[in-house]
Amino acid sequence: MTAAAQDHLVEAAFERVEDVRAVVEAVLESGVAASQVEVRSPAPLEEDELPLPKPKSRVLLFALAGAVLGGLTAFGLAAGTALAYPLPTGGMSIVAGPPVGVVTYEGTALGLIIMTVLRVLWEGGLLPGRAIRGGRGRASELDHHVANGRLLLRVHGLSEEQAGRLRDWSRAAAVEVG
Amino acid sequence: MTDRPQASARALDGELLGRLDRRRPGLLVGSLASGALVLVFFYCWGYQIANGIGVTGINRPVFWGFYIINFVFWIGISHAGTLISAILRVTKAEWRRPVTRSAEAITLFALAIGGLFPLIHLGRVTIFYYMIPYPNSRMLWPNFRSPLVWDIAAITTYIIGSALYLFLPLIPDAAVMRDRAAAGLKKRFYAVLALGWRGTSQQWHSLEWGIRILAVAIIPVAVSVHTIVSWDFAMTQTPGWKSTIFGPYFVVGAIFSGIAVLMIAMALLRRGLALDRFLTDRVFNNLGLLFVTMSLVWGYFTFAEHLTVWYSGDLFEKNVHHVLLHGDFAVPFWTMVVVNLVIPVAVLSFPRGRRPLPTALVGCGVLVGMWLERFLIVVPALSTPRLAYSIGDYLPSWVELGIMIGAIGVFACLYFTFTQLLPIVSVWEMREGWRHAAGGGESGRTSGAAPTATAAAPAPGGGGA
Amino acid sequence: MTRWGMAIDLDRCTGCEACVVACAAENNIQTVGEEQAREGRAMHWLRIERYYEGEFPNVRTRFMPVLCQQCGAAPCEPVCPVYATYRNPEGLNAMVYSRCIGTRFCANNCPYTVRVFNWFDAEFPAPLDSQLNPDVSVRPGGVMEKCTFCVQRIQAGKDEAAQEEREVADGEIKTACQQSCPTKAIAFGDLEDPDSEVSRWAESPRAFSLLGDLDTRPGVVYLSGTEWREPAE
Repeated sequence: MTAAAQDHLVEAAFERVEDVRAVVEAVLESGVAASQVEVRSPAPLEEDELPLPKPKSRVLLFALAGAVLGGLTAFGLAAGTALAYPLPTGGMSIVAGPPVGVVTYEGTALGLIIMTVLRVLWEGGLLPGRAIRGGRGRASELDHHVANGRLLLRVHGLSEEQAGRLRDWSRAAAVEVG
Repeated sequence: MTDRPQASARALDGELLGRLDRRRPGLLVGSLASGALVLVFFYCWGYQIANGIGVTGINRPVFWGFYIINFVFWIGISHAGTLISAILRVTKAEWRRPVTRSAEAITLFALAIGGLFPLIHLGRVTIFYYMIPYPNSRMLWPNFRSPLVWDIAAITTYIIGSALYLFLPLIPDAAVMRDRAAAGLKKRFYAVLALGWRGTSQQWHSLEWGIRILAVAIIPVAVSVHTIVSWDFAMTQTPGWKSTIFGPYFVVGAIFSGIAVLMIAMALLRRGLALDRFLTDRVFNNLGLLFVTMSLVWGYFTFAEHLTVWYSGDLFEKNVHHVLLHGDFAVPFWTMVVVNLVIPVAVLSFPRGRRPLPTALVGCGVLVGMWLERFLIVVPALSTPRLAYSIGDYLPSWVELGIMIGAIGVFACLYFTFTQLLPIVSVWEMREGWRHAAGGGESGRTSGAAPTATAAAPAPGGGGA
Repeated sequence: MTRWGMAIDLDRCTGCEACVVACAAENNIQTVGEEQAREGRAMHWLRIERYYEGEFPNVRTRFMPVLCQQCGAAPCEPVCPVYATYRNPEGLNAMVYSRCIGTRFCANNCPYTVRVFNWFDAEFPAPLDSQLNPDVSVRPGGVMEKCTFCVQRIQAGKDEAAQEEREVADGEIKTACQQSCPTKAIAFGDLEDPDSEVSRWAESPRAFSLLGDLDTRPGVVYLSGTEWREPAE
């Protein structure tokens, strides 16, 4: 089979999760890989609502890395700058523990928060210039269904025959098929 | 959110979208009216910059006045949102869903205004950046031992954190607005905000992780912010300020005043946007319980603070204590006690008092009371210094009053505009709640297992299933 | 090392306020005018506090000149976010006017309330401008200031001694208030030098520190033969 034949995309909007599940189950049984299936929903779905592999996320890891980074930066600022330009304090400590602690605390939180958000945007393909592979993040004609509370099933890389079959399956329950 | 979830979820969905779509001329009028106050704000500030900080009423010994009072006041209000919404999110309280967005918006705008006041207060605002750590030509850095520099660190973290905490859950809703808008400027505006959100499972999964982490992270930040604000006072030697209770006292006061604003905003939103079906009586009841709890905690802290001072017999502390309770400041002090403690407890202890109108009215009183509290912290302590020769008093000038009223206008203007442009009730979170309610045993497991927030009633998802 | 200090003999003070005038003239202190003074914005770096004792007609007035105490552990210093006030190696609480952004935090944390603030830009209408001291900068509006122990005189004295290749002699450097005191109630010098006049005064059994309980370790010592009640009532 040539590559050109495998580029069909079928989209279908559904009202209910049960209908999406039925169609997805049929699609997977017919030999389509789970990675070709994309479901867009108006709200997060429960893990076991669809027979698809659970997406992975490294947000927590990056958040912790951000916390370490932010904390170290703040610590360096608070302690390092006082040592780099030691002004006479009349016997008071030049680097005092509690203030350094306070600033480090805030820096840790700031680093964590910023890295969390950046990673969320990165994983979702929401940063400028970063699209998710396989056209997953592209706009669709049927996106307005998601906005109005319906689900959108998109199956990528189908042959013409597979696409035709999928359209037939979908027509029964779908609100719109594209 | 009712007993017939499956059947009515679709209808509720449509109704919510309809409410958000509808143009509200009242909001526009509100924006414009408060916009006029924005001009007052900038006129007064400009006048002060041009003529010098002396156009205020501050003097020796009352070196801090309305600006610092309003700084603490607005930072306190900012605790409405992020903190309350984060606590409700972490505890998975289902009734949070219609509340979070409006609360988080309050936080961001109140914080932006609160953060301006220390700058307005500066003698030389044109060189405010001396406080920011950056490698200048002399490599002289800020003094990190100063509580004011802690303030900068804390408020920077908090404002960035709460802006992102507002923005992250807003992305899917911006996509909703984008996909429902007709092509044009409006659609492009929402497209920019939505960043290309499509609602794929990966996006939802990452977003949920992000919100979960931010909700946990923002709570200690919010607590630290108002603690550090209190340390601007408590770290000094000044009688009336030097107190270990100030940290928690300020945090409690902040949450208290934050809930007050939230109650007012929600009553207005419910009425103005006809959101009765979403901002239900149950939401007001639960928030009202939280409100009266904070009132009692606040009353306890106030009592504890003044009792220790009174009993100690410390001469200088007692001087401040005396002017507060019996002297020049007795009227504002006892007014504060009435509106912050007596009235809230009298009204909110009863279910009928926890309805929108009474809670909003109590909220107005608490706002006055909490403003007075900050006034009573700043002014009496300063006007009663140790060396009696320097005893002074303080009256604000028209410039300070103008900036204070203008700041309220800035807040209202931002809030009206935000409500006009973006869903003030989180659409996707409501949808998620309806799904949970409809999901029967499965989602009953999730929400039923969740601990409920403080004094709040059990989550409706668990109860309904 | 030097620690500049001052001793003030309250038993000699007549409350004439010559020191206040001399201080203003020496240090280019802004004259704020009647209206501002009424608002509590008079800018004296040195003030004579007056306290009355007894019932009329048996009233006794006590005077106490209060100026920056040049604390050894100064509450004003750590709270400044920009290091505009810091402790210099000779024990002075120095003000760096050009760094001051006017948070006024230092003034709030001063237990002696001796810091004064420039609420407006200073004005010296002619002919007052002709009497400005060229050794002292005129402070802009929005800046905190306070007694410097006449740091310009200290500097001049040190320069002169250095040129003549000798140590600064005790009593060589006089502050403006000290110089103008008709009853010689003020001594100024090095507290580290046990033989200096100020050190000898500070050893007196009459010596005490103002608000000594706070342990701010002031560089100013007061002397009084009668028990000095802390004037708080």
